[in-house]
Formats: sequence, structure tokens, C-alpha cells
Amino acid sequence: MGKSSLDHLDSEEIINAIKDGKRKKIKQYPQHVCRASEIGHDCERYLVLSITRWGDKKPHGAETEFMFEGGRVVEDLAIKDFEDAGFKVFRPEPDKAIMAAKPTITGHVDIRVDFGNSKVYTGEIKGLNMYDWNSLNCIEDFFNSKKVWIRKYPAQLMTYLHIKKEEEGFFYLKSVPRFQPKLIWIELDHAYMDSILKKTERIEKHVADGTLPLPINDASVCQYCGFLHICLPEIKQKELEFIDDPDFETKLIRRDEIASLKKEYDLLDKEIKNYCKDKDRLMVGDFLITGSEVSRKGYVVADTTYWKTKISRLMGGKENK
Amino acid sequence: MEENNINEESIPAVLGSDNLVRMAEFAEKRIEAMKRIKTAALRVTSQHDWIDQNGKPYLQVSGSEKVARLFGISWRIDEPQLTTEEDGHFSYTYKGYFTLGSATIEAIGSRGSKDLFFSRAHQKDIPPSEIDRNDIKKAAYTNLLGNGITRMLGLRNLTWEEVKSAGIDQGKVSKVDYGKTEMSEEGKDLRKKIGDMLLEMAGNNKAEAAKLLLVYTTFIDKKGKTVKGKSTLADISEKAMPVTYGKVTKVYEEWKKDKKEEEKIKKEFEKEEQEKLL
Repeated sequence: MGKSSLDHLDSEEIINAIKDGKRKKIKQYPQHVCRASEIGHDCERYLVLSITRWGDKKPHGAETEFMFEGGRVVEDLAIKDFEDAGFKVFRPEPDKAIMAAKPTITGHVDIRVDFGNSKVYTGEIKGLNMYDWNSLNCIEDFFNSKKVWIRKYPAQLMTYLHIKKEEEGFFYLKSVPRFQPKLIWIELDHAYMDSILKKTERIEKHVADGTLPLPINDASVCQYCGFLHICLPEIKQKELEFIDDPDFETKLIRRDEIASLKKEYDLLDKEIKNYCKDKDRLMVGDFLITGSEVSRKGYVVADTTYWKTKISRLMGGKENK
Repeated sequence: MEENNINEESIPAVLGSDNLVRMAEFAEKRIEAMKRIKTAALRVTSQHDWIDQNGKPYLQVSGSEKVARLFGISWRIDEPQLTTEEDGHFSYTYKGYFTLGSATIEAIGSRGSKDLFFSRAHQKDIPPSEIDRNDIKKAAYTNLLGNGITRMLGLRNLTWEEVKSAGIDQGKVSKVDYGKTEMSEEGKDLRKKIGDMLLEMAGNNKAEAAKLLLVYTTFIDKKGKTVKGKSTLADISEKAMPVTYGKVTKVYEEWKKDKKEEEKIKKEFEKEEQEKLL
């Protein structure tokens, strides 16, 4: 008799053992000063608690640890990318300049590269999911990200640039899982860096005085915070509106039904028009296709604000966007 | 869900007095609104937000927070209370106030050092002095959030059928069975034999084999109540394994006997048919 295919127990036990193994690796370490990787965090109370009550921080789960480990692998891959390209790569050891800086912000520079112009640039490597990787293209994209951790990245890199007295550095982003590279140059924004230094001084003062800044009460930030259980912020959120409108609902259902057809139409239309490019008249079966070159006057689109609507059909377990 | 099946815990607290009550002017509409809230809430979750805890669906706090964000539930929480017992065991209790619209409810979240999750490891008891107070405190806070949010939306005491209706596959959900210990080699051997017999009877169809297992493990208890059986071998305990093995073996042997008989009759029939042709 072979192994029973009804027997699911073993695979589950193995995965649980793997997750337990990862959990054992999650350790909390004392923190005495601000960290470059955290200093861009929106909540100063969080930054003070990270120093004064680091042991109370709720540790991340095994699932997050898998991602962190993946990130470390991406870092090695990224360094190899630069080396394979023939650039001179410096893998910085703990930096004396960083340790001596005042106010004190510690950190570990990922990479320094000489691209051939005899100047060495400081870089910060990040492994990102495809969505984030696609959406980050300039410094403003980092600041405008909805994700708390992405908003922290500029402060991290700029802190290194400030300490090393450099005006330019770069983010090297690798997509996960496709591992594609993207490089974004960053200029040191002195005004922003000044705000970070002042923030660091405020934090140092709170730590020295044994005081705490006020909570920020921002659900979008607090939801990821490991100090929620001792900070106890009041979380205020805008309630979801339920409406009863059968006509509107019918339109949404129909819109959902024809969404795949529209996608197919757009793809076909693009393919056909690419084929017909530079052909002024074409006859295919019953179809007459004509074309001509059109000149369009260029213009600049003025800055504006608009309401972005996202419609998702809740399918349970998975979302149909 | 039938109206008479609704227990207090499964009624969204939000339906008490806020703007959603506009939808509940009539009793039927109230039930309808309740269903909508529960369905919408469940559909926002994914299989990763659920745990199969001793056979019951349990929404993890990640799922509760996701649902809270969608519905816009607000909350404030009091400082926790620490209770220490004479034997050194201790517990933390948080009290919170959860609001949606104009409805506010109070909820309690509590965890103690006696919880098996903290007090036992590798089949050994851990003394309370060695249990990290912070771990208990954090767990109590998490428990409060889960309680408050799920009570507000009526997501408590759900059945797998209800959860399944929102597209969550029980089979893909992680399982936690605190009472489960490592199965002995004998137990594993019996489990394998049971699996093989069931598969053979089901013509190598796994779904059919699971149905057979459910039938053979369903029984009537002393009070005359039907106790639903198990449809996967992983859910059968070490203790129940020999009983299940006995039942399945009995059925299997009868099935084999019948099958032999059937084949014998079939062969005789074919022989007779051939003789007629000759």
C-alpha cells in the first residue's frame, strides 16, 4: 500500500515547524539612539518608545520574518548586479562618521558605488513588490506613498548623505518576484534633513526627560505599530456608508460583467492599429481601414486634483478589481 | 441563515441604534441588513485571516483589523488591569469602547499565564515566573481588538458554512489544535491503513473517500444526538484512531466480500451468456 493521499498532516506539521523556527529567530534588541531606518516614521511617540520601551514592542510575525529574510537576499543580489556590471563596489563596514554624528542617528549603509567618474555614491537597496516597484519613480513618490514604511525611506538615505557630507545618492530598487532593477537618484534636501535633525533632538530630549510626545491617533499609521498596547491611542475612523440603490447596483454588476470584454477590445484595438500604422488605405474582408498622419499641438497639463474611485467586487477570499 | 438560528453574539451590535437602523425599519430589513454587514465583512477577509481552531473558524486579529478599517470602526481603550493570583499566575485585562456610527459597545480582552499557549511547551508546564508578562499583555490587547470588532459586526460564533459562503476554503486555512500531541508510530500506521482502505472503496477518488470517512466517523452519542464525523484523517485523534480503524476495517472487509461475490456472479453470468452463444 502506498502513502495515503488523504494524509495531510505531515505537510502541515512541517510548515508549522518551519514557522516556529522562524519565530525563534525573531529577537528584540535594546535601542539607545534613533535609527536612520526609522527616523522618517510619522509618529515621534513611536520613536521615543522604541528607545525607552523597546522590550515592550510587539514582535513581528513569522510571515514578516520570511519577507525580511527575502529582503536580505535581495540586498546580496543587488550588490552582485553592480559587481557584474563592472562598477567598483564598496560594502561599507560600520561607519565611524555615522557613529560620531550629532544628534546621533545610527544606521548601516547598504552600498557605495563608483560608477566610473571617480566619485563614490551612497545607495540604499530595497526589495519591493511589483506594485510598489512600479509606482516609485521619484522622491515625491516615496513621500506620497500610502505605506508607512515606504515614507521612511527618504529620511534613511538622506541621513546617510548628510552624515557623509554628500549631495547625491541613490535608491536601487529590485522588484519581487521578478527581480528587475530600478535606480532612482536622490538629492539631499537640506530643509527636509533639517526637520529630521530637529525631530531627532526632540526625541533625545524626551528620552532624557522621561517624557512622551502626544499620540498621533492616525489609524493608517497606528495599525502597524508594535506599541499599540501601551500607547493606547484613540482610533477614529470614518464609517462605511451603506446605500440601497438597485439601479446603481445593476449598473455596477453590468460594468463588472463587461470589464473583461473592454480589456479584450483594448488589446485587440491596439494590436490592429499597430499593424495598420503608416498604411493609408487597407481592405480586409468586409473592412475598409483608412489612416492619415495627424499633427497635435503640445501642451502642458496644469496641476489639478481629482477624486480617484476604485471599484472592487468582494468575491470572498479574493478581490475582483 | 434562518432568523431563529441567530444568537445574540452573531447580531452586529451596530444595528442597535445608528444610521443603519434606517434600513431596519421593518424586522425583515433588519435581518437583511445584518446579513449584508456580515457578508461584506467576511468577504473582505482572505484565507490568511482565518484559523481552524479545534474545528471552528476563528478570525485572527489581522482579519478583524482589516474589517474594522473597511467599516470605519473607531475605538478607545483604557489602561490594562493586572490580576495576580496566589499561585503566581497572572492575567491582563483590557477594556475598550468600540464605535460605529452612533452605536458604541464595551468589550473586554483578557489573557492569562494559565493559557496553554503560554504555559505549555514541548509537553511540559512552564512556571508563571518564566512567562513573559509583556507577551500576555500584548495578547490581551489583541484579544480585545478581536472581541470588540467581531462583536460590533456580529462575526462571532460563526460556522464553517457561513465562512465558506464568503469564499473562504476551510481546507486552505491554517489549523491550530491545542489539544493535539504528536501521534505515535502505531497511530500513524493505522491512519495510513484507514486512508488506503477508504481510497480503494472510493475508486481512488479523494472527495468520495472523504465522504466515506465522514459517514464512518459520524455517531450518535448517549443523549441520542448525532455527532458529526471527520472528513479528513488529520482531524482524527490518536485515541479515536483504533476505533475508526475497527469501523472502517469492518466495512472494508464486507465491501471486499461483496465485491468478490459480485465478480463471481458476473463471471458466472458471462460464462452462461457465452454458453448460450455456443
